[in-house]
Amino acid sequence: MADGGGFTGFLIAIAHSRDLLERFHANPERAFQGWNLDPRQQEILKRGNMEEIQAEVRREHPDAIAAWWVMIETWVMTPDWVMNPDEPEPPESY
Amino acid sequence: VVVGTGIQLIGQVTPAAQFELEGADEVLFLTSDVAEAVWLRQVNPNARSLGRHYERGKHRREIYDAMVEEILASVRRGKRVCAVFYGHPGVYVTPSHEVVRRARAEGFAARMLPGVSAEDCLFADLGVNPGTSGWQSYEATSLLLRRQRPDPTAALLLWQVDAVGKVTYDDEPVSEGLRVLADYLLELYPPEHRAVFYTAALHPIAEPLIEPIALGELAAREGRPPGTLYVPPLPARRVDEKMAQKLGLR
Repeated sequence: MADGGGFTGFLIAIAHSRDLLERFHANPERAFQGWNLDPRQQEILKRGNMEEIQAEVRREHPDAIAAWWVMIETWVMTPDWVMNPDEPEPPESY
Repeated sequence: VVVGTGIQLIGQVTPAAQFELEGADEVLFLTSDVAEAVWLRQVNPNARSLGRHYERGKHRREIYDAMVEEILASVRRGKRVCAVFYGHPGVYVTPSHEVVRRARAEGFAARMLPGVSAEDCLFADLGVNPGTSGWQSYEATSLLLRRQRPDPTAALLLWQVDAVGKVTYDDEPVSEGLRVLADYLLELYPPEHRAVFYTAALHPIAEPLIEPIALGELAAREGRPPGTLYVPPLPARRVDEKMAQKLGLR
């Protein structure tokens, strides 16, 4: 199995390797060889839907899910009153 | 050093950022992509997530302070520290700016390296040149709260439309916020004016999400929208002749 294998390993490898990316576009089945991907995972990769891909990565690494949510929540709202402590906070109703 | 990893997994990490990642004694990261976290640990075994500082219900400023303190604690121990955020570390990220400011105030050499932001990806994917009409960029909720008035003859980018009117992230729809935003934009643009919901591709095998929508249909859109709304400019204003004369162009 190449470089640890698995769904996440394949994603990391294809982001590193132009050769693997081209192989994936030309013949996905050939690109999947050696990565220990089940048919469901192969279909997800072929569809290329971002949400599906991320969900599968989280399924493969359940220990990292909390960190993922942290980023979403902390990133989502970084309004002025956080960036600038002198800015008054909005009323609670906001 | 504070670095960004770009939007797309690995491919948008700059050589300068990679150099810092590999050479750091400690890497502290906050990323939205689990695959990226896995990769960071491969690049530097001393990489750890700042995500554990988050606790539901905790004030956001406390969370940021805890992250900044953890980064600074490593710096104070004499470590060469690389703090990592996804995208551009200076765009819509608070602790990145704060840690540079506080490290410098304590006498440490600290700097931020630029990264590839979602906005950079948008320019490429939608074929937008911000120099053509001018460029306006607002956080959607902040735009509404402060009644900031964009110039409709310049291109407009609204961030965090998927959370407009909210202070925390959840899976609930933002239909009320979207309706308020739509009403506000329709004061400036005709209802048939077409905007684009956009999300940059997170992986090299994924396509960016591009969803055109007429502003008149925005309020009725169901479900959680993509995070970014690009509103193209209305036709440019005529050149002001007096100004042209002042500039010696007439």
